[in-house]
Amino acid sequence: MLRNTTLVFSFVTALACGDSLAAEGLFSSSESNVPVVAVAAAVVANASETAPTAGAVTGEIKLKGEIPAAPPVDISSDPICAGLHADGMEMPTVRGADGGLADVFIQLTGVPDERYKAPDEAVVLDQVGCSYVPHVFGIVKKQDILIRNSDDTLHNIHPTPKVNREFNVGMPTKGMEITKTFKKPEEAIVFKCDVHIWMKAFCFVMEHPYFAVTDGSGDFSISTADLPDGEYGVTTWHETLGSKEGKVTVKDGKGTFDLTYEL
Amino acid sequence: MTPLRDRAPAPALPGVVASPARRKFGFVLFGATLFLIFVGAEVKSRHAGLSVPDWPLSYGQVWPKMVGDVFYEHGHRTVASAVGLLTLILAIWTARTDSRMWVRNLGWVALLAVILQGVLGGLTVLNLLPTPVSATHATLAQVFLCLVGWLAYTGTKEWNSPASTDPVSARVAFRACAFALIAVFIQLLFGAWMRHSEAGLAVPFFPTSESGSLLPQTVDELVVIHMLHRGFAVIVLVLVLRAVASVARRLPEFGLHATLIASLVLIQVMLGALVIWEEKSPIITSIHVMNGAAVLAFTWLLTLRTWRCLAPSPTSRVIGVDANRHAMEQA
Repeated sequence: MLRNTTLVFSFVTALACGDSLAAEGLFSSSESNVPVVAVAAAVVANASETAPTAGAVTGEIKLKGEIPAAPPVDISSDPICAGLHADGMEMPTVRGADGGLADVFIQLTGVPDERYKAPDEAVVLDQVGCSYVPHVFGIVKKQDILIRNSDDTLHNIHPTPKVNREFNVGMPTKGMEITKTFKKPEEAIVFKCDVHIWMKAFCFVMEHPYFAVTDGSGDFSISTADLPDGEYGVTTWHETLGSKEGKVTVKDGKGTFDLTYEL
Repeated sequence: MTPLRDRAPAPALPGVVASPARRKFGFVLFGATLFLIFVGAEVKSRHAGLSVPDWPLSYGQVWPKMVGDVFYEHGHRTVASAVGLLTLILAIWTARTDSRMWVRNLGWVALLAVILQGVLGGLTVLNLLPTPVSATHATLAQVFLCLVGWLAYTGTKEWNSPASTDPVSARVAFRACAFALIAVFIQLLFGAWMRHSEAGLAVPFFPTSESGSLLPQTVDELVVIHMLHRGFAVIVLVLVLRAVASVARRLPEFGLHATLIASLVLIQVMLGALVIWEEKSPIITSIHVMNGAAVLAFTWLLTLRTWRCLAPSPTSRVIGVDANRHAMEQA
């Protein structure tokens, strides 16, 4: 109920504001003309990752130090992208708010060695505002990834896995959707668009569902459904700040884990 | 014996059709192919090879939105299509107007090469740039340029006239050119291998590191591939300049051609250094590739010109006539 309320609230907020991608910090643009519906969909997708659950490992990944200014991206090669970001576009690799670090992938290690069923619902990867939303995401192996083009320009979706099968698909029209998946566990698969070289996303393919990605404030929540109480390892990953490890104790389905990255 | 320079130009062989319009058309195709090699190099230099994932259409269309890096990949396809069309025209034109069967066949071979090149380009896209296919695509482009150059040259008065040069001098110059040609071709293979293995900056300094070393501290496969290209460049430079000197001394009528090759090869060395210093700046890298193709093609044409001097007449410049034996008899 709480989760549904959050989703509805996010949707309404996005509709009202119309500039939520920039507010989320997924990319910064002082004048974003990204379509409102696409923005709302992106916010819903993000909210589902961090919404608190009854039993969960929660916490915050903090950042010590000033977030460096991101160099501007030259997007002039596509007038449609340039039109969406009239005042220029930046693709910061380190972002966050209130001392929190966004886009950190967190996974529990040492969980029971079972066959985890992939969730039925697909993870949405949207190409919106000439950027990928979300920037970092995870799936359980064989879980579908619904890849959508919300831009009025063409994109190609081209992940470059080392273990899984590489593919490259053209998505020339707005609203086009395709569904893909990966069958083998693999970390940090780079998704890129060869048309717009600044576009990049990272995908983690997991054996189990005990993972999350920090939101814009560095907060995360990993559902502990079906996870026995006990002590588990925690591995965090950030695209430029690297990996860290720690431990968390889960008791009555709940645990807390905080960690700080330094610049 | 009459001095070579005082000899009157020999008349063209009757029966051989060397249409000026077709000759010019051939050289236009040669220039277009050189430009195509530059455009193709731009695709690789800017990592735009997969910006259009399908083939033969582009995003299911003949003309997609030319945005982002689609400009380079689809632009390459467009120029390639134009070159393919020009080759088709030249092949048919040659087949209908040239009395020499081997020249007509050369036209068809060029057409076959450009079709194969297109298919290789499609395969490299559909298979996500496998190095062997991509490197073959890059190498066949250079071979095609040489074929087109040869085809154009067979339409010139020079090719269709009896040689009036001392065959012994021509033989020495021909050998020097042939060695240079082989060296340049091997160098292009090394270059394609290095480029498509992403080893272009495996040795990021030129000529030496700050500590004066020729090699980086760690030597791996990429460094070896890179150094093969860099090291062999010295051999190429020596052999090409030797050939140029030999031609300039023994066949002065080809002096301008030889000077052009000497200039191109020296520019090529400078461009190679610039590629390193500018950390593979796309435009410089692409010019380096195109200039390399020009060195090969002009060395090939000079080799053909010296080879022509070995043969007594245009008709003997057909496979089956022992030009070398004739040269020995003349000597």
